[in-house]
Amino acid sequence: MMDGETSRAWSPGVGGEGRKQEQDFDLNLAPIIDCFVVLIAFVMISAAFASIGILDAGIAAGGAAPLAVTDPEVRLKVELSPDGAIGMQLTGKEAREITLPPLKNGGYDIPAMGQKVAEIKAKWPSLEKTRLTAENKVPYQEVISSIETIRKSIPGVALDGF
Amino acid sequence: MDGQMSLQITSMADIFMIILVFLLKTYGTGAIDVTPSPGLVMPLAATVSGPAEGVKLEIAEGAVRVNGAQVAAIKDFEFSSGDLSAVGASKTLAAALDTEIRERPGSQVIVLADRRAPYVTIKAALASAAVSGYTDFKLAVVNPN
Repeated sequence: MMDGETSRAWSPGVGGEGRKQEQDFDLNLAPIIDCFVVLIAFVMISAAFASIGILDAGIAAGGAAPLAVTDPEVRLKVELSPDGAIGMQLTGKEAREITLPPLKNGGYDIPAMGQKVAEIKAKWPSLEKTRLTAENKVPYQEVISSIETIRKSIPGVALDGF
Repeated sequence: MDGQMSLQITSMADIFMIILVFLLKTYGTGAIDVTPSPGLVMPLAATVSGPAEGVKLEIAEGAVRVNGAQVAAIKDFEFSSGDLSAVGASKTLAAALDTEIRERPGSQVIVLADRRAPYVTIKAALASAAVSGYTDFKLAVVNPN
C-alpha cells in the first residue's frame, strides 16, 4: 500500500526539495493494523480466560505408595457432616476430637477449620498428611474448599470414606 | 477544509498493541488444556500446581465422560444403584477406564467434576479409576484469580 507520495518520501531526492520530503516521512500503519486484527482475533478465539488449576488428592484406601514409611506421631481426620458441622479427629500421641458448629447460614466454617489445622500443625510439625471425608450428600465444592484450606498448613490431603 | 479526511490510525495501533499484549499474557496459563462441557460448573480454588497430563474424567449433571466421550449416563449427578459394585465403583465407568488404560497406559486421572456433584459420586468415580489401575488423582478447579 505504498502510494506515490510515500514512495517519493523514500526516494533520496535532490537538493532542498528532496530533504524536505524526507523530513515529512510518514510510516504506513495500515498493514500493521491488519496484522494486529488478525492476531487479536486468533488469540481471542483460542484463549481460555478461565485459568484451570490442579489440586493433588490421594485416596486414603489406595493410590500411590506413601513416601514416608515411618508412622506419624499423630493422625488427623477431618469429616464434613451434611448439617454443616465439621468434625476433626486427632489420634496418636494426642487424642482428641474437635467439632466446629455450622455457620448461621448452615455453611461450613472452613476458616475456623483452617485455623485449627494450623494450630495442630504448629504443635505437631511431623504431621504431613490428613484424611478428609464427607457425607454422601456434601457438595464437591465444599470438599474442594476444605482441601484448599487444609493444604495451606498440611501438604498432603487424602480423600477417605471408601 | 479541502474535503479530504485522513484517518488517524496511530492511536488505534496503540490500542491494538495493548489488547494484544494483554491477550498474550493471559494466553495458556491454565495447568491443563481442557474445555469443560457446557453446563459444567467447576469448583473454585486457588492453586499453584504446575501443568498436568492424564485421562480426563468429567462428571456433569447427566453424563460421565472420559476424554470427552460419554461413557455413562447419570441422573442428577448420581450413578444408578444398579451400576455400583460392592466397593462403590461404577461398573460402566470402570469398564471404560479399563479400555482407556489398556490403549494408553498411564497412572494419572484428572477429575473435572461439577461443583454441585455430591461426594458420593466423586467417591464412585475415584473408586472406579482405582479399580482400573489409576493411582494418581488430580482435581481440576478454576482459579478465582
